[in-house]
Amino acid sequence: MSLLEVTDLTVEYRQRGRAPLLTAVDSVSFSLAAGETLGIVGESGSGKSTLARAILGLVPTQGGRIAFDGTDITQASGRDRRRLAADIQAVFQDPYSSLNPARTIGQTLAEPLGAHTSMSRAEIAREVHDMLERVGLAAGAASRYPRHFSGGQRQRVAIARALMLSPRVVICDEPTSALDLSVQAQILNLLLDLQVELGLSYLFISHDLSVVRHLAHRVVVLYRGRAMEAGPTEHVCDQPVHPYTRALLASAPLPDPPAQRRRRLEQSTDAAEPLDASPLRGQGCPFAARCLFVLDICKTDDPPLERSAPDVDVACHRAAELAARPIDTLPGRALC
Amino acid sequence: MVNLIVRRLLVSLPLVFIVSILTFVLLALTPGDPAIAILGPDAPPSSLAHLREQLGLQDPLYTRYWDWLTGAVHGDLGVSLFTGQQVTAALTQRLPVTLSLILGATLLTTTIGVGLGVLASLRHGASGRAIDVLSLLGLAIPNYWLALGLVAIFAVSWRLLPATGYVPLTESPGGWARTLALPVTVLAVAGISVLAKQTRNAMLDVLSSDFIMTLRARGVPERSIIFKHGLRNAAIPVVTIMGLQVVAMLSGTVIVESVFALPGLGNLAVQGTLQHDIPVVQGAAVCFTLIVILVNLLVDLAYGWLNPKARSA
Amino acid sequence: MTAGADTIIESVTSLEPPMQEPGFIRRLARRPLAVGSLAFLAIVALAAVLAPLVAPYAPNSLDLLHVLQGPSWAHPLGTDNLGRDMLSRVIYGGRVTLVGTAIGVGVALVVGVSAGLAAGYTGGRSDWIVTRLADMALAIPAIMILLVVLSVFGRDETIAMVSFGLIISPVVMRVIRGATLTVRDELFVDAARVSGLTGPQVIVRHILPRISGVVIVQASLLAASAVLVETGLGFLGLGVPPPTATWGGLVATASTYVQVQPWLLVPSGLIVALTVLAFGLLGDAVRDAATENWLGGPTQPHARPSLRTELHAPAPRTKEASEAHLLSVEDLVVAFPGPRRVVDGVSFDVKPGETLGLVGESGCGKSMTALALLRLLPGGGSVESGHCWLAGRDLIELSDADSRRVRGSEIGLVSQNAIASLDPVFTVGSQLGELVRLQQPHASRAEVRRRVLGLLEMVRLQNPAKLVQRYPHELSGGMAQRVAIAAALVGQPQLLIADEPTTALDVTVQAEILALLRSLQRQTRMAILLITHDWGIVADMCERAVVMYAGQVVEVASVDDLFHQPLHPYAEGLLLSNPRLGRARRHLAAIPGSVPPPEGWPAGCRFHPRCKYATAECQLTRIPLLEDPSGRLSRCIHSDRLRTKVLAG
Repeated sequence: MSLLEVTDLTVEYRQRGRAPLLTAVDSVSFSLAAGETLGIVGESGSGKSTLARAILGLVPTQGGRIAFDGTDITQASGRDRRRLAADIQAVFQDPYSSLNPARTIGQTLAEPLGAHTSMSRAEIAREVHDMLERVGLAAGAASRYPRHFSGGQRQRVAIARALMLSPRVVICDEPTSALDLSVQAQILNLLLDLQVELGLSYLFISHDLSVVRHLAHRVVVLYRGRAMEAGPTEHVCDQPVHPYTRALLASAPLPDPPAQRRRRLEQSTDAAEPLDASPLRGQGCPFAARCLFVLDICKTDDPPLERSAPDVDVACHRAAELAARPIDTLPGRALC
Repeated sequence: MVNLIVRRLLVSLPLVFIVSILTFVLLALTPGDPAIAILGPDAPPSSLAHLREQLGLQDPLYTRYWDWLTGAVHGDLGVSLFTGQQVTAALTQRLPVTLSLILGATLLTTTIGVGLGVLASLRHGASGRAIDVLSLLGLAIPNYWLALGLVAIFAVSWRLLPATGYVPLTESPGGWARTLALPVTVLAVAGISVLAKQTRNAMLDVLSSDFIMTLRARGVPERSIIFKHGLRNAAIPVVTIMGLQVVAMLSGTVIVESVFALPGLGNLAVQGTLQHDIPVVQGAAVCFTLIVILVNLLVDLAYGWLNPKARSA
Repeated sequence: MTAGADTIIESVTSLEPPMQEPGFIRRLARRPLAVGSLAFLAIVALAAVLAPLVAPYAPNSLDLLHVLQGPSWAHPLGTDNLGRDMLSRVIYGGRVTLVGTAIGVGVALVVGVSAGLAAGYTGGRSDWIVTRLADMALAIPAIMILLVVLSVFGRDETIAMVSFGLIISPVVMRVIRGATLTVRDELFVDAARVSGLTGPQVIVRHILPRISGVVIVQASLLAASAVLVETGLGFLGLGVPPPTATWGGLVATASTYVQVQPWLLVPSGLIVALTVLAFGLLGDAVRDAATENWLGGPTQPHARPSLRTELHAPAPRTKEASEAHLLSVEDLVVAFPGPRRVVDGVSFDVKPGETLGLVGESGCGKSMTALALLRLLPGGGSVESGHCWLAGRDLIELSDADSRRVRGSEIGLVSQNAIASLDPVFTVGSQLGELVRLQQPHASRAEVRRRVLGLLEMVRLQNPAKLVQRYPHELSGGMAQRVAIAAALVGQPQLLIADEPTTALDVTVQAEILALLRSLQRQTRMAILLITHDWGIVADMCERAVVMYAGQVVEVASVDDLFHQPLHPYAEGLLLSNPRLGRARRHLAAIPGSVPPPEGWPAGCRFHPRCKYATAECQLTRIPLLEDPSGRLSRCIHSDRLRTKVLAG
């Protein structure tokens, strides 16, 4: 059974002035099994962060269902939410904003334990010490303030804080996007190790397909709040079906000069007029305006999310056709 | 634009009602007998009874308010209990004085305050600190004290300007200017202090933005950067502060008109308060509120004109 | 009555909870004005409390033989019209004012802070209601309410100051609400909520400490206003009635006798002015002391381009214009006050028409190098030594005017955040037009417009005629970046510096912008200095690359060579740690440790603490950039070990 099950989740925002309601997340469904990493990929405006916040109970939802371990938590009360903190935790993107600069590392790590358990000060201190070690920081860090630490080290603290209550699901919202490349690799390694050691499930959110490919078992691709493609990582990242996923793949330059030069698409360098609002439900595919494979039907009818291959779902009117037409892969190298 | 004005007015008009209701309610809360409070405990009972009738004290509160409101809409704000003069007439008589005062002070504040602020932002170090200290001084000096000090120097010792009194513009522009010189200065001092400091802060803020750096990177001359781009952007927060300052000046007119014996609204309000002249105080309150609404409206319009981001909202 | 009341509407500058930050008291103590103000207020308060002990006379003891006297030994501050000692009356007057101030400030803080916290944290409907109420309250001139209250209740100081407190609380509410909103958006508040804290717990433990600095500043400013209001009322005769000594009353008396004894004005008004000043200075000092820790020292504005103060020969030295190089950077050293070097002897060349990548992670000095070229170093930074030769002239030694001309026409800049790089109050067309006119001062309006439209077409923007009327905030990130590129190309520069031009953009938009840059380069034959941390972009765009680490160049090579066989351990480490090269869900070959800050650059090779090839020799001396037989440059004494390996490819 899946640990976290999200069905048709919808989150809407009221915008300033007389602008129409913005649907940040539009009927998104997925499930996360124990010990698994599910990657959520999307660019700005895809709704991926809103999705995370909705699952964490930080924003209200307007439709759909979130279930944890079989229990419906969509409309969980304040108290229930607080109890859920022991099961679902989060690591956020900005290491400089996610730690209270006025509290020591030790105080920050002790806080979840203080709020949930009745452990003694000594017991808490020991837990803090153990956790710091586990994430690769010196024990002396507990008495220092965040400003003494680098971005990578702060992210380790953030991960430590998330793990203090021994959760089963950790939502990682772009945890490495604000970090340098060399540090990113360290943090990714740490996340992998912790997953094996503690049996964690990750909901890993990122705009970087290569990072997601490296960590996730399964991937969901979001565009403007809707799921475009979902399936096992190897499938989605190596042989994507949906035109948007293909565009994502094609756009990210390869760190391999001869290969990159060869695959440089003669893509249009014209700027498309940005859509001010995504088309509402029933008005067609949100990607229609930028899609290379667009047909007339794409502008009027919503493409349904349908099974395209075993375990792969695609929301595209031309899914069957595209699935049969693999993109050029380079010999011996994955495309992400 | 018209849209904005209409919307603003719709939002603001309830304010006038609220102010008038507030005063009415407060009056109803007056401990003791208002008639005695006004005429004193030794007044003959017949006068007290007469006053009570005049004030309509036997009527329920909402009837009294309704009477006042209907009167107000027709321009009749009641009659002064002290002088017997029509409140509306008194207000109209005194309005030009207060307006001259405020307009003059606003002009002075804007030119000197903004000028000093821009100047201070261009020079680093010492002059910045100087502006900080000067602006604090300007705010710390009580305006009544400053007024008295200026009178002592300019009117008593040097006899350059009159200590009290007012000459209407229509009578003699020169006299008008002379009687207003000191009061306007007193009013303007606090405003200049605030504006100089805030303008300097706003300019420094703007001049350290990304786009200013980019403009320099594009070879735009420094003068353009400061006066065309910098000032234009700094004007946005400054105009809001200007608006607040003008409203603050209204408070200041109360003291200034008192010290310089100018027959303006502020003076009227204080007299009314001292004499428990309720209709006068109410009328003055409504009048002040209308002025504030007007000022806020002008500020909103200016802000909308200056800030493109505000227009699309 | 007071403008001070409304100056409380200040922008929030600091959110550090001053009390919890170590050293706050010390920082405050370092400011003489703060210490002085605190001391002064303490003296006034103490004197007021201990008045019967401290005052030389009773406040109402008459001495009709010595009326209206100036300062004397018996009466240091003179006497008033009834022969009462001014000094004693000032001391006793302090009681009235300070009590009244305390009432006013107390009420305003209690109401304002709680309303502000509640509105800011809860948001939604209650926030909307409270804000609307506050807006309305602020629109009513405070003085009017005060006068109305006084006309009803007569002279009652307590009621007056309570009313004042209530009237001014919306101002406090607004400021506190603003501060709360800012803190509430911080991720650590979200984290606390996710950790399972209740709302009140979050407010008390995380938000309140963070806004305590703001609260203290507001309290000081409130006190300043309250003193002005209280004494103003006293002056108008609306405060505590005589014969009680009040500061306002003293001024009123003084004003009556200004012709006879002008001296009386001095002590009566001065005490008020000094007290208000003290509160104001204290508030400012607290705010500065709190911000200082956050920002590090007095905030400096961006230094305007200034003449180098070094003593060089007045005529700029020229280097033989070498056709091989368009730009030649030679031993550039950039430092900030401290002294803190951020660029430490960097050299590289850019050939005409080539795209050179300047690659490195944050803090390596790549952006500062570019800014130094343009003579646009931010606050306090300056070029300590070195040269940057462009077409035979040393950019570092140019005068301000020449430097400005170079920036417009020979070097262009495109930076990271496109929307922020455009002036928000002018339209796209107006900004581009201004730049066109810089280059062609005598062009007619029609010509300028034609040129602007042409530029927009050149960067492949659709519908240029409509676009010229748009404001920057109405553009998407990609469109804004195209406009920024157009702006950079107005002067037809030979060199375009692109500083992380696509970092803030979506990857699909990034691909379009990079393709645009490539096509523009083909058209104009300009060289591009591309600053980036993304190796994919380097592979896509650049012919050669310069890798930087800790302020130094560590490797220079053609991009093909670099990716195939890096000769510096740092470059190798970065390339290997790319997730694209990793096997799914297996460890990546990560570089241990983190980038050292300029204050902590290791001796010898700056990378050696993190390097797997490091030996004892690496920490001994500063490693020079070594050239190998094939012409490749690497700052490593063990590069031959790397020569034996090849990256999988």
